[in-house]
Amino acid sequence: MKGSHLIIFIPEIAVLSLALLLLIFDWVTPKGKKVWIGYFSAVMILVFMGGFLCLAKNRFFPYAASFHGFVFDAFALYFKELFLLVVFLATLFSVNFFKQDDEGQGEYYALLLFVTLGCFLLVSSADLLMLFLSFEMMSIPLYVMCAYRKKDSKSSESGLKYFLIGAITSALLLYGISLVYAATGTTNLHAFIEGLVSANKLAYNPILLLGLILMLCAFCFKIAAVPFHMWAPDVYEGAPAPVVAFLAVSPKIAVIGLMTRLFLAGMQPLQPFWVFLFAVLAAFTMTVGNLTALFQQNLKRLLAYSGIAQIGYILVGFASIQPFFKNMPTLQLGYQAILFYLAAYLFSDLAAFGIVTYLSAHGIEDVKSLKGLAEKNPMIAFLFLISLLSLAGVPPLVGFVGKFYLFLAAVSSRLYWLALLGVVNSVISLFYYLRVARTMYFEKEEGVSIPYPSFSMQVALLVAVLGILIIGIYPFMITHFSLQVLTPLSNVPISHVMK
Amino acid sequence: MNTTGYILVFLAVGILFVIGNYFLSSLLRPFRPNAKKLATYECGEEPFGTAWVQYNVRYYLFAVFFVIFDVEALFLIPWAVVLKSLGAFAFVEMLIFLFLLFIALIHVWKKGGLKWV
Repeated sequence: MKGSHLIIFIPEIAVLSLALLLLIFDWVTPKGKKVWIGYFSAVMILVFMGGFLCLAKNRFFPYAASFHGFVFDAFALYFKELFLLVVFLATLFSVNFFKQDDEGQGEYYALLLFVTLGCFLLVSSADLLMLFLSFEMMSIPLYVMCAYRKKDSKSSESGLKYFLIGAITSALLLYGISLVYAATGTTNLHAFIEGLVSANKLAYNPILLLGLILMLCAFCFKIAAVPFHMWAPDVYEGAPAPVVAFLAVSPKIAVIGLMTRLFLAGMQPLQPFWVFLFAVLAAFTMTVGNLTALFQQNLKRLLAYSGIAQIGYILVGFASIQPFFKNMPTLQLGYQAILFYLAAYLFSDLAAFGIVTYLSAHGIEDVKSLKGLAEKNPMIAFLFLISLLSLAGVPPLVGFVGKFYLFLAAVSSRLYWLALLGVVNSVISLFYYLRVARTMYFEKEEGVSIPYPSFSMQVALLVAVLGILIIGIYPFMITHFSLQVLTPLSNVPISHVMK
Repeated sequence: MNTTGYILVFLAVGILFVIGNYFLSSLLRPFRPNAKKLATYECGEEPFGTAWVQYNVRYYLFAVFFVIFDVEALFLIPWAVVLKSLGAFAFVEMLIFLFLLFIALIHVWKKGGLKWV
């Protein structure tokens, strides 16, 4: 390896350095001033977001390149920008939430960045070993963060549950990888794709299929798709709210990104098999998520089930992928719909969780205790309404556009039943989102008013809600980008390999 | 005969050798048990309680620290062996790796992880 190849690792190196810097700041910052570490981190993350965009526009920078198990392309960059946005918002949510627990604050912001680093590597990995290591790197700090409030038994329980589920997930993933290796004799994705394309009979090797299915199970655990979703509500309920906001978005986006690379670009010969599998997964995930959400009283549990349903919608995109032709980008509606919906999910879910963070800092955890919020704090109620409507998919918000693309993709792939099921599910989901809105707006209760959110929270909520509105009205900002992202994925990993 | 065959023969001979020796020694040795001889340990402490006690969590912490630096040594040795052929880049790379672990060590120290309370 020569030093010049380091250029494609710049995003990772930047995030790692920032995390280490935060740890060092933590040693020298006196108690009571630790919130400044959070502010510093947020500002630096913004700088990185701009910096990476400029980096990609620089003509000296390779548009797409790969180094052994690591790929850098527009696809990875798109995801990296999304992760930076999530960690920016999560940092701002946390700054005032953890004001009281001064011990370990610097550590907390560094942990957020370590998870982000894991996500970065995950969407860039082109080797099964790299995949496993970054998967672990993404998961382990999250276990610690769930149990961040050591003295709160619910927080510890949530951390322990997440850890146990995570251990099973890693075991499944590793077993799957070992079987895939046994069937193909390589862990490198490039070699793997070449092998699958050239030797079509390899595709229906039962050991390979079993390995891939085990890996898929592990991914489904992480994104909480339906037969593997049971942990999500329990973990979300116990963990501190800003951690949940982060946990519900970043790892899910990372794993979806990885699945896109692995199953859609990598396993083209297996396409007919995946379509059926993903269609069934999507149908169950949407329906179970939405039907269970109808009965939830706790806000975090409600959003947990709503998040499960959202993942179901994204899986519709996976089901409606049409086969790629080598070196010939076809119109991939499903593929673009997935990329778009991830951004939509990011803004809507983070806005909703930001409000839940703010409410939970003031002791409101249940739907019932939202009574009269519209009078006590009209701005918060309005922002919550917007984020919930976006999650439900009401025009002109970003959730609507995302769902429109997904269902359009399903229709264009002749999966009419799946599109119909998705629409029915959206209607069901509207019921429980509007139930929250009704409690806020039409049920009166006299009580103490809640203080206005802090400055950092205001900024974060503003960013999230503006994202919902602006991208909802003008979606081409993202679709334009996801069209560019599409092209390299199908051919670059093989043709631009650095040695 | 292929390699697997040799291994099987070795396996069979090994197992038979052990069983045969046990059998032979049972024919030759005297057999006069008493209470002292049948105790769990003929010499040393009599065990008490079960082995399923809760160990102090600090031992676990120290074990984790030990493993971290153990793995560090594990990486250093092969690196040291081939350093000459790898050149300056590998040297800098390893310095960065050591620097990361160094920060981790100071962090543990600062947070009181090395203190036996």
